[in-house]
Amino acid sequence: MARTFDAVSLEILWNRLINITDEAATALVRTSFSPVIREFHDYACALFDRRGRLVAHSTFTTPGLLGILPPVAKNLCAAFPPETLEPGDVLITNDPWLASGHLIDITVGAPIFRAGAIVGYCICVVHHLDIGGRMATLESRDIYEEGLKIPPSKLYRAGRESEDIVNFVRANVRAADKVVGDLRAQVAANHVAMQRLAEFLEDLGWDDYEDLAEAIIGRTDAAMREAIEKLPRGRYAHELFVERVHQSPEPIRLAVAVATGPDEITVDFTGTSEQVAQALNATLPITKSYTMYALKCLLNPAIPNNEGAFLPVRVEVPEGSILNARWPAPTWGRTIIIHYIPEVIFFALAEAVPDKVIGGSGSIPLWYGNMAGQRRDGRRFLTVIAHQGGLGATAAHDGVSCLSFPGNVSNIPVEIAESDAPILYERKALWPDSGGAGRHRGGLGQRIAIRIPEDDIGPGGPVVLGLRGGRSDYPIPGLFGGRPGARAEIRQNGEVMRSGRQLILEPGDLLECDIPGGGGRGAPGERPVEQVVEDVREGYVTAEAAAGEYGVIVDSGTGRRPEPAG
Amino acid sequence: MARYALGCDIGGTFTDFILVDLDTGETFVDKCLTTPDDPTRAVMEGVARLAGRRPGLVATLERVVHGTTLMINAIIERKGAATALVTTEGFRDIVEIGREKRYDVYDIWALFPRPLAPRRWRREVAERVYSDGRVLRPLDEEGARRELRTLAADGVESIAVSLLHAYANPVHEQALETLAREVAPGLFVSLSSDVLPEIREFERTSTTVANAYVKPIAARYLATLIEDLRRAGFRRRLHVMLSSGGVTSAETAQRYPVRVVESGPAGGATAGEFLARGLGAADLLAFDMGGTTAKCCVIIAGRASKTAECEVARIHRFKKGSGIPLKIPMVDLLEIGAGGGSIAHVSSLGLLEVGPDSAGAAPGPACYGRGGAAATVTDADLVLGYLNPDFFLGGEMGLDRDAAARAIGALARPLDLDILAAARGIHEVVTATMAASTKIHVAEKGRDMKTLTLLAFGGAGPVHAYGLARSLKLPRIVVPRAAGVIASLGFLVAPIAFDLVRTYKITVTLARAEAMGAAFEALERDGLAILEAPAAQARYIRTLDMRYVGQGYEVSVAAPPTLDPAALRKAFNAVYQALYGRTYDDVEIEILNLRVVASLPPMPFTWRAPAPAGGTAVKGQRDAWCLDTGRMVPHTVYGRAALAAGFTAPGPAIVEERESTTIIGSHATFAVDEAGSLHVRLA
Repeated sequence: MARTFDAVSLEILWNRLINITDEAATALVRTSFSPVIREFHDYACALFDRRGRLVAHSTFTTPGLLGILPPVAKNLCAAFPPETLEPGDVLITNDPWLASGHLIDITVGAPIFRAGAIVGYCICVVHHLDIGGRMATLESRDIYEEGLKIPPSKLYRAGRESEDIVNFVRANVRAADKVVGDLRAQVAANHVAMQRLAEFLEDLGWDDYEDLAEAIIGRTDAAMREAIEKLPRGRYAHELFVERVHQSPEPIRLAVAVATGPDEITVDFTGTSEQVAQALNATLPITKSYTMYALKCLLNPAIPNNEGAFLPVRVEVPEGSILNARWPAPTWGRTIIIHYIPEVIFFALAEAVPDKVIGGSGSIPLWYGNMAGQRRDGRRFLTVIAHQGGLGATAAHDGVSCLSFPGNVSNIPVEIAESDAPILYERKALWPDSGGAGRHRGGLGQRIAIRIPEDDIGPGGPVVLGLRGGRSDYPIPGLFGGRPGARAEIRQNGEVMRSGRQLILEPGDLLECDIPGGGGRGAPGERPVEQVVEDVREGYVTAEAAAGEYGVIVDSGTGRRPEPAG
Repeated sequence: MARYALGCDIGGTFTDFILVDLDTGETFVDKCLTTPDDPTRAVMEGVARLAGRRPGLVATLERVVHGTTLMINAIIERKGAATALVTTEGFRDIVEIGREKRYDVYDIWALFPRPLAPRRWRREVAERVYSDGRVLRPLDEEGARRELRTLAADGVESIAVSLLHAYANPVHEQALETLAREVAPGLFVSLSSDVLPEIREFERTSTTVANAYVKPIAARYLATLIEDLRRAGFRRRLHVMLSSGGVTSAETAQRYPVRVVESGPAGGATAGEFLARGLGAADLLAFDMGGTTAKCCVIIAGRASKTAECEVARIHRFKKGSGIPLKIPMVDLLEIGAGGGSIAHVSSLGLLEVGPDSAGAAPGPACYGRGGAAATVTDADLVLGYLNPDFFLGGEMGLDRDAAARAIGALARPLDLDILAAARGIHEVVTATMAASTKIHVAEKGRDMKTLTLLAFGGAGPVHAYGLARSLKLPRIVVPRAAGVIASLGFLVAPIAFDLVRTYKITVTLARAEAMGAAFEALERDGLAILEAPAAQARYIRTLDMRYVGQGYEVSVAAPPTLDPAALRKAFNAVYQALYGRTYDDVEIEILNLRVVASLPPMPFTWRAPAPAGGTAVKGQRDAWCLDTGRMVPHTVYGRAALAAGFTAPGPAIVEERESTTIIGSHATFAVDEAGSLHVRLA
């Protein structure tokens, strides 16, 4: 007979499973090399049931992996059915169509055995430092240019590491030691998850945890449906445009129609642009990830994520669309497109749930660059540049300045970057007036300036920078009368550059990035005058903008309103 | 003539005192209401009360060690000094931009704390130092003077100076301090190269700004206290407890007040270290559960683990990342949003959740009868029979059992549970929450949980220790006496000690023993100057923060006797192996920081349990929930004051004292040791 769980036991057991994935993540983070793991949390540690259904994942998992986890487990199970697996086997793949949408994310999974039978699976997905190929560029014409592809394979057989696979990886990637080190950290994280799950079952005296998985998935499914039920019924559509990136012929259209049914929700991206030649294409799993993320933020942010959350959500994307590209489309820079998914869904649903959505965000899409070159002594260096824009205003507060969204990436400290690479920051500062005006103001973006030094602290030659960001052509929209945030700009020695292009920076060059702010919310005229005055005093808004956008005259010298005449 | 030591801890509600006769070990405990408008008043009142019982006491005090929540409260309540930041041109917003990462992936509304130095008072000066310490651009002294003058004229009281790479070369920060003295002599100045000479500009600046923010308060407060004590006849130096578990002079605390923020919890951990010695060097999990949060600290081989960072003033449900980061040497405490006041609620999934929202002291749990209607952990503990409604705080405060049952009843209905099941659920869920976080915390230290003894204190600690020990499979619980003033005890047993750090970034291959030895010696000289003691008395512990090149976290490695590459590599590998189970010979290792703890030998200290109060040990019997048998069963109720050393009894039992209640399940026995501690053995 199936076990049943009351409101107390389910809460406790459920949390123990999440705790197991967090303990695995602790092991991963603390043994990894890639800053993308430890600073960006661009990883997931997850537990699955015997059928490969997602039961729990680590708390700090990046939203981009949410929708990846359910299909990747099933795809690995399909490649390696239970009868082909034995204890100590470890599986690996980075196929963007089976897993997380670009080669640099590597999935490492393992069956969990108990008394000779598989009781579930654990998976650890990690964004690696390098996967070979042309490096961080949108200019690759197909997936083959983007690096090493690892088809579903056994990284370990019965506890023995496959030297062949490790050697293949080592031979194909830059920073091979670190990439292999991170792969091993993934294996270690899975090992922790397996051990803890075994202890968990031992404690309870269970042979498996199918009934618990069923209860967790069922309860989540029901909660999602209940939240959907509360939405005003209707079909809500919106579209937005993503600017032309380097070498692409035209802007990209993202169109969405969200239909809220009785207990289901359908998100239909029909009308979205076709896939493109540049490496901007998304595969279906990653599109689903960001769709689910947006819905969870609006519907039920507090519930833990698992297979049940996906059951009432239908995502429809025509094949060949930029959000469901056909193999072998290049995919490296798909975040440039998919980071807009939450925004297009928020704006579609703004009428249905006005109090939950936020204005457009300057941190969409992620600003990210890989910089590589040689030092004067011939050693190679590789560093990451990541600085984000401002968030859109909410119904109750100004947007937060300079905050990663919807990805979750922390910056590399200036002092660390300058110690690790021969570059010099000249500025990293809030950008006044970049947040859209409104009753609530958009968060501010920032201005970054990096010099490639010419003297002996500089590199031994030119530095290659694959930099992406966005929002140079279309305004970052406000909501309900709020004004748009400022637009982005990238300049090399003062000359405006298009995002997505690989830049060659010579010693002496200056790179400047104006990273935009978020959209405002509500009419600027409704903002209390004292808040405008305060913004001018603190320098978040200039006196000119206070007068022009808010109609509030403030003396920029004293930070006060002028005395009334007479 | 008798010689005494006095420990005094100013908390939010009470100021605690513990007085120990250094020759006989006789101990006296007292409490006064804290006087927030002028905290020295409560201190002096308590001292006067103790002196009233022992005339001439103040002149015989050998040591007074003081801890206070004054600094942390100033930061939490934003009542610090008018604080400015002076920084490198182009970087005044570093302290506001932070690390740009959200602390809650799904909460798109989550906010961040405003910096303690407002933007209008964050000023830039033209200058630049490079990561290797060389000056790329000289300091524009005229511009700096101008900015400092404006700030002083604007009413700024305290400035933080934090320049890029100042950890590598402090010359410009020091020049700015000189200029500040010249331009505005009344300004308090904190230099990042002095407060925290460590790489990573946001954390260093945040810490330096926090230091500046509380510096005038600390200076004034400690000066007043020193003067008041002197007038009362105190002839020694006043000492202050640091967050690191060390004690320092009041003068040093005035210079680095940010290091005092967590003095109370550090006292708890230090008391744990002391008690561990009395328990045959048992490895402990110190567990302190109060009204709003619980704190855990691992004590291995008699030493509390340390960390170099913490976060204060969290603005979002105790969530990590929602506070102000401080990099200060600190006892490594895990803080969980689970306390007696934590509120139980039904989640959107229809499950029972507890906390982190807390009813606090006002309105407090429903059973306090002060208007609180939400069901809290304390309400559940009352319904489960753990708390005695007529003996809370020794009977000073009656608890309303009906109000607790009503609050829990309202929660139980939608969950389809009866009141007892819901109360049990609250107790179990809050215990599971604490157990889960504790497991991760211990895992991060690479320790085996099952070897630890649970040391429980704080108001709610001994009530929940049994359930926690059960879920963590810990075999033994110890509940010390004076559990209500345990931090003050820690102040008295802590050594005089000071932690120093310097960034020294170099790969192991390039490291040279001589140069590194000289750098350590320089830190030790600075440490000795702060200890103000003869060189022969000082002890130094050298550690290195090390990592594989490219990693973002460092591990702490005890410095080997020789600092050559081979020895450094070996020392690092041993630590890494213990923590993570493997090492990589093919990856370069680097050193990031050198650390020294300079200390003096601890004061010899013993304390004696008071003779048991007369009367019978057994107060009666009460039905309470038994976690072992899963039902309400009669528990024997003991009055702790009447229990003599050597007393043993089986569970189920409840041991009551003024500040707390210890629960013992039916599958356990307990005993009282010579020091008066309760030892609970779980089956």
